Amino acid sequence: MRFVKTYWLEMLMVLPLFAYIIGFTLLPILSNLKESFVDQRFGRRYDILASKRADITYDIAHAPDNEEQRAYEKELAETTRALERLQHSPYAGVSLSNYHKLFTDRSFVKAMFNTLAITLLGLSLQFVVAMSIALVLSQPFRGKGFFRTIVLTPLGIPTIVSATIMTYIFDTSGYLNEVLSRLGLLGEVPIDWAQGGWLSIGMVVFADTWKVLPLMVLLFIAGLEAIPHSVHEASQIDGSPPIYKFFTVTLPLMKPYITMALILRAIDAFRIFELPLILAGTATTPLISTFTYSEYARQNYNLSAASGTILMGIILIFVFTYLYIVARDRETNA
Amino acid sequence: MPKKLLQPLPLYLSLAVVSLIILYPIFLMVKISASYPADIMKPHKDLLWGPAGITLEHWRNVFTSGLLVPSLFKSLLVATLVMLLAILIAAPAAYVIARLGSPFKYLCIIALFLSRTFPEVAIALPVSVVFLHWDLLDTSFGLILAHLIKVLPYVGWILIGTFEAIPLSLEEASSVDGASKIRTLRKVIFPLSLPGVAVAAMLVWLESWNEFTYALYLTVSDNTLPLQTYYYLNRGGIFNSAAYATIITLPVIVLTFILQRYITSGMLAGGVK
Repeated sequence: MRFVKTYWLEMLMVLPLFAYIIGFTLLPILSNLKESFVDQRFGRRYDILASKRADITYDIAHAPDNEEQRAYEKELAETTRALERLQHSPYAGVSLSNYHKLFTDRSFVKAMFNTLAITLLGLSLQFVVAMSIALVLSQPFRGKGFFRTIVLTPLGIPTIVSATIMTYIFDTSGYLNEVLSRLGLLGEVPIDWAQGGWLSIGMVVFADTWKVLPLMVLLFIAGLEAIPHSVHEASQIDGSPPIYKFFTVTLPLMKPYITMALILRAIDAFRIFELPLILAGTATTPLISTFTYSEYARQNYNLSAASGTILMGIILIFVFTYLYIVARDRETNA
Repeated sequence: MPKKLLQPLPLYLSLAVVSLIILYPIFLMVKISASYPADIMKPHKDLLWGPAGITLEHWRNVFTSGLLVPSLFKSLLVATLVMLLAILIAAPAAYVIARLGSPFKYLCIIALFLSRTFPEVAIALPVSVVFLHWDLLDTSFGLILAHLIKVLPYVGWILIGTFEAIPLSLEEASSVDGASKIRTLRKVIFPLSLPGVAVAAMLVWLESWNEFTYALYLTVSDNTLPLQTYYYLNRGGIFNSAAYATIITLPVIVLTFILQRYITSGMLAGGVK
């Protein structure tokens, strides 16, 4: 009780935030997990019967006369019986059928492959390009401020806007094909970038890189600036060539920044949603996230829940790897 | 050494290429929103501006279609209320967490970080099913609740940093002078944290303004601006989508311009998207 008396204000201040996160993030995630183990056929019929029962209950309350009310009540009893029958049906209860269905679905297997490919390719490209730009921006040259401003321009561009713009570029009669044909690189038939496979993966990777490059550059610049000046001077006196210096001095010292940037990017790359949905569509180039949405749109809620749960599992593995690395580095530093 | 490392000609050539790749798509958006259809729809496109020149026809269409104002209003309303509510919920909690001892503080920060990493498609499904029963689909209130899911961990994360930067000695001095806890909060902590809170508020406003996934799951017909853009994209309305994309971008450019000098890498880490 003394604890409550002393700290009532603090508890009152923390409560809303954690109540909200528990109610609106943790509970939905758990309910998603639960629904993923409910057979799709059962889930669908259950939803239909449950909403039918709700409708009839509403009708009973608003029935104009007793006769109609009795008819509704008869219907209600039938629906309730059907629900009970459903609950005793062979496919009611905990089942792995959704997961089985997903891993035998070619579209979902493709989605897993696409998601992994986009994450790996995107991260490598973004790492190399952002690191190069950050290194250039850490050197003095004329027009540096101007170039920095240009690089940071897409920082605030909303994802929906970058997706919109990229559709103009990657359209079959879009601007990239136009540039390619002017350069003489395009054959008779224009390239259909949304046809699926590596072309679509490359398209999404490019669009994603365009959007997140400023953030990566800023993170790497912060990492470069954190390297003490004396280290640069020491290696300069040593006379080691710049490339050697980059791999032996700069890169190891920037490791915490690089791990943070890459893990955080990986988490976001795994759940990338708007760009593949808008640019490539779910038919030719499904990703786990867009597959989850398209099953939701088809009202296959349980299948969508299973697919979302798999995505969450992949992300959690990465998050815990990151937390493990952070904790380990703390111990070695302490 | 730097002079030897960066040869002027290759350096400026590669800078020019990178700049072109970054800037050209934005130019394209503005160009399409203000070009004559004859210039845009022809098989061989002009990479700069078409010969027909500039037209405001599409902009006039967008403003007179009657679809812009409702979605603009919904987007503005949701973003502003999300901003106010997020600060109201997260700021007090962030202050307490910032003053906690080491293991608890670390745990709280990890909990916030974890709840931000969950995929939206996994949260949005149960939320949309529940909101259907609560009659919250298509409402601004429902969307505000959903956006708070997304922004609360993020804004909490940023504000913990803000409050950590305020020295504890100031509070101690205030309580030695006989001020109550609440008075110290109001007269010492609140004014000192105001700049950080303002930056966090702007970032939250932007997140909600740009948000797409929850809006897609929770909307049937009352679109926000990003959804309206998506609607035109699906129907092949290239001029409308370009105009809408430009409209969404305008406040973003203004706010990021203001924010640029205040953003620290810690915030970026929380906001990497």
